[in-house]
Amino acid sequence: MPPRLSILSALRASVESINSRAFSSTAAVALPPREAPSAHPHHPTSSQQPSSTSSLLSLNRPNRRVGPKDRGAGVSVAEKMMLRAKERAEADLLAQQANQDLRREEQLSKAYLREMPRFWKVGDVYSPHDLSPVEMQKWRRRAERRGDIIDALGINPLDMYKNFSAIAEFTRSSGQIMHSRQTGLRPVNQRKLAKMIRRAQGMGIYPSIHNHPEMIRDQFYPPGL
Amino acid sequence: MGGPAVSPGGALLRSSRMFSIPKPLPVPSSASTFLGEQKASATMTKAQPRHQTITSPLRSRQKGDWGLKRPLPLKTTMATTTPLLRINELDTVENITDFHSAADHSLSLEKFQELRIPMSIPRRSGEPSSATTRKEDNIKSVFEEDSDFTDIQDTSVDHRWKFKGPWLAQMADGDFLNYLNKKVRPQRAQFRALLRQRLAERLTSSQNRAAVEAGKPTPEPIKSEDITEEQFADYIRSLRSDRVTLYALVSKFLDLPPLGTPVGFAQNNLIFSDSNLATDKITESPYGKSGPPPSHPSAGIGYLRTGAFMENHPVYGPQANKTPVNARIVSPKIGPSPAKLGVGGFVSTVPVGSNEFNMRTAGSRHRRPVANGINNLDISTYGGAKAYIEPFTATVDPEGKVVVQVRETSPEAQLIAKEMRGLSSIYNDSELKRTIPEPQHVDEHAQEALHDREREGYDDEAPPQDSRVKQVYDQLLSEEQNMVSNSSSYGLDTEPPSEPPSESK
Repeated sequence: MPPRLSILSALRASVESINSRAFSSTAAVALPPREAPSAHPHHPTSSQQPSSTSSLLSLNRPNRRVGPKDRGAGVSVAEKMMLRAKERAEADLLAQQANQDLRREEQLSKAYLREMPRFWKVGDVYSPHDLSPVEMQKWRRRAERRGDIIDALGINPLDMYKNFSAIAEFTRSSGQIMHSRQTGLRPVNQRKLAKMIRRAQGMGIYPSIHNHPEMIRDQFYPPGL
Repeated sequence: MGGPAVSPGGALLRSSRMFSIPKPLPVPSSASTFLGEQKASATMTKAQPRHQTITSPLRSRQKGDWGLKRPLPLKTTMATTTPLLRINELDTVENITDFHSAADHSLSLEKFQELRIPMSIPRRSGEPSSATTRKEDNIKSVFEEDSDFTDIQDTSVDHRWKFKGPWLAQMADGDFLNYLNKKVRPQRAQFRALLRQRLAERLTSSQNRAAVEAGKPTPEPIKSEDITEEQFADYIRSLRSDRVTLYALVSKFLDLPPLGTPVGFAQNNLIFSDSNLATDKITESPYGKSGPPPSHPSAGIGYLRTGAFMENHPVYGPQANKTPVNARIVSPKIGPSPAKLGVGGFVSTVPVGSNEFNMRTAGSRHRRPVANGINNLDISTYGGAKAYIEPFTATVDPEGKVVVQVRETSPEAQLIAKEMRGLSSIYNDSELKRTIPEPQHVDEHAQEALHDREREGYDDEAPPQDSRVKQVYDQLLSEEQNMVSNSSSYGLDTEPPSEPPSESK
């Protein structure tokens, strides 16, 4: 039967068009640069859907196809279901691909940001030199303390014996008390601090040969497992 | 000008560059110097310049002559396109002049002045900060008469930016304790004397009022010595419960910068305050919430009084938006902190509100795509991601940093800015493509015209046939030439539009 055959071929064509739709599996890396000079910035992209005007204009054309009426004429229910399932699978695949691309881009961005450790604050001034790798490398290192932090905070070091993160700031990972050259404290505060750390270690509430267990917990029990 | 007379040698020395270089400015104190900033680079560009920048003409530079004690090495001072130096030390124990390039701050200043934005006092906290209100309506220049204040000794002026006391909100705990012990405690007796005097005045005035009401003669004024300890203790107790008055008294006594107005402060002020003393500075100063700047609020970086001017494009006419600035996206969004933009070398935040720099939560209908480099670091664009924004003002924060305020710009302004850089083409000065309804008819006319010209004997000196046909078309379609997009209608073509042969000959 000629009409049935033509509909089948039309259907096949439409299925093929779905299959052959180009989807991007490449990350934004492969995209052209943002400000690439283009001759026609406002050139409209070729749209698959005919506009209302064009469909009105082609009313007189002899072989004009009207979608739903023509398509629904002889397609069986099973074929429709197949088509719908296929479309859904395609859409899922596309969404998955997009999600994967996004995650890959995120990871790449994080990896590069690790090489740019400066945390920019509002009001900072930069020159080209500040964006160079040499300068960025310097932001990795911890700056030497120039002032006495205990004086600045106005705390009594002897009261801090239960503040394990404070103790960790002034001890090595193997439990030694840091020298005043590194801590930057004045002698009075350094003596008080050392006394506090020795007390905490002597009391047995802070380990004397390694970091506090709460701080190295993640090494043995990684988060998320 | 009117200085003491000096010997000619002394005058020469004083005017020499060696002596005229001023001392470096002190580093503005900030709470983050060693509390917040754990990582820093010693060679980074500082937020403020401290040293004077000097330069030298080429002929002198070729000899290493910078007007200093000794010539500077040519290897470094000649191999640069920005011969700008700062002198860290004129003479060191190693017998060298310690210098460094000052191109960073000098060019930053130049770039800032190219932005052409006015310096403004920070907006008060009570004012609306939503994106719906146009921000430039609230901008107040730092050079307005009532807030431009340069006499540091005069403590009577409102809207001051300079105070004798420290800004308490910014101080670290240790510094605050130090201030209490070293500066505040020794002034106790003075403050008590002041309170006694105040109480005496109050008692006198109430006594006088009572006497007037009773129709008696005014009694002797009460002196502060006459006040008993009991009366004074009662007064202090009443002051302690009246925070508004006490705070006003203390801050006036110690000349403290204003702190932010607490909730319900204004109402309390109206109802309970025993005088209008409290209204002086607490509610009025623009630096209540943000803190006073360490320098003049213009920071000497710009002297524009307003940004309320309109730019004119030579072809497109007056522009609604200023020429946008191509800002570098120096940092993408990291966790909760938003992306940072670099505007002319000054780091600023992204424009507020729903725009291409702020990802709104899903569900909003008018969602626009997020700009490149906002969510993730853009590693595909050569030189890093950039975006067009419009800076409109700048303020100085308590740490002395210049904070540029930006807002998003219109797509048209961006397009025009891109066209200026040759990245887009919207201006059409080529021949218009015209569809001719009856080609045969026109051809006949053209042929006829050509034949006419050939018959008249213009053959030898005539232009080629193509341009002649064009001329004929022009003649025929002279009605259509007055179209907007054609530059010839504005008289902007380099050559005048081709004229018909009959007129030219």
